[in-house]
Amino acid sequence: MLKKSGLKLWAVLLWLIVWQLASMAVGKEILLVSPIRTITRLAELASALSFWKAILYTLSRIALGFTLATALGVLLAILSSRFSSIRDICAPAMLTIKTIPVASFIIVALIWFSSKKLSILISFLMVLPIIYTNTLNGILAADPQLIEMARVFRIPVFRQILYVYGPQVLPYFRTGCTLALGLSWKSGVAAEVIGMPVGSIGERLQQAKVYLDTPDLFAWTLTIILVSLLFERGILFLLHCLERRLTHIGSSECSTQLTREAV
Amino acid sequence: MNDIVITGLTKSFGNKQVLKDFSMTIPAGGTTCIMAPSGGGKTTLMNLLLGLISADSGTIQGLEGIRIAAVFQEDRLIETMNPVSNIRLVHPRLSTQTILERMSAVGLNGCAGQPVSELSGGMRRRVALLRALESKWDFLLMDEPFKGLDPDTLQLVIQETRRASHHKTVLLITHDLKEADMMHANLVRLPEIQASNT
Repeated sequence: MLKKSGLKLWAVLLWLIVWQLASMAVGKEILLVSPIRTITRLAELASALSFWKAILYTLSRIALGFTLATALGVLLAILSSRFSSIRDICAPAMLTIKTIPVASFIIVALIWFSSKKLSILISFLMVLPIIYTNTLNGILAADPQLIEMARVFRIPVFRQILYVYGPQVLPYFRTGCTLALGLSWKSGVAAEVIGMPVGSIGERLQQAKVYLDTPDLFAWTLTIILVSLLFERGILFLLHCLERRLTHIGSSECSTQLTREAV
Repeated sequence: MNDIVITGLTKSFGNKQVLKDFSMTIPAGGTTCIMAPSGGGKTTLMNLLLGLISADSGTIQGLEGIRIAAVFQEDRLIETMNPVSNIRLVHPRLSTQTILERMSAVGLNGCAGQPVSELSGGMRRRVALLRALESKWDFLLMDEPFKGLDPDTLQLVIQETRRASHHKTVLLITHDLKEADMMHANLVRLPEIQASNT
């Protein structure tokens, strides 16, 4: 994971040492807890079932919001690329969602919905414009000569989407996902902190704040970072597999045939 | 299929008139070759026949319900896919064995598993040509399909093209008289096809 992020182990260790020295210099755990104490507290929390339930609660809701936004974003991008009127209708809505502060959304959503569904809605709203914009840009940037070729050879729409548009749009889509994944976690947890749905990570963070329990606050923050990183890596791995599948149609089939012939 | 009859075709791009009152007949079941200098409206004519652009005026008859294939001036291949996959994209039911045999017939050996982005210009051209020949078609349009091929390869490729287009309607666009001869094409030169070009 360090290698993929472009992080050097020695640089990470350096910052951990700086953190440790800073907390020793401050000398008060309530102000700045040390990395060792954070990890110790995290280990304590991880031994309780409620810790894992809180992770599952938040992860499932943010993942649902992300998935729904991705599906709708891609669908709207396809329709917008085909029909300019849909693009015109979507443009102000997407711009509005992008520019309104997430805190405003959270407060309005709390009035309209139960706090249990808040993180689904907020992560959905944060992800939708990013996926929509990136996917639409990818479709619009697709090579028009290849599209003409597909049209002349009467390649069915489904195969066109998979094999003509797919490899060209996927890099844009992947960039959108990378941006949206981090944002969905930040906004989703922020929504939980304000809405405090029972059993969520946000609720635990809020409790840690209320009781000035800094080790808990740091331990939960570290948990969010780790879970969001794993979530991001998982999604990007799936996208990588899909990209390989789309850009190498028939290659494996062909290799198998060639091997069989050689035998 | 019937003859393809082009009548009074006119096409302009902005102030530039590319085709003016152009008429010709492409006989069914034969190969017709159009020769014209660069910028003479050949590619515009091909795009009009492919239905990719619309004429300002004039008609094209005989294209209704027929299957068209094309070798474009550019290869227009999916770069990340190998030759077999590119050909199969337009004809999914074609077996790997058949594709490999056709590839071998035009001198494409040992590159079946390579992405086309790694192939030479001449190899890519042959993949683009095979993709058109192996698709299901009644009318084949080819815009400089043999460019970049050495004489020996050209011989092989023309042999394969003639085999695949036997008794079918083909429109060949080229600068090279020799290619037209080798394809046994009926030659139509620019002055005969274009009334004027401003």
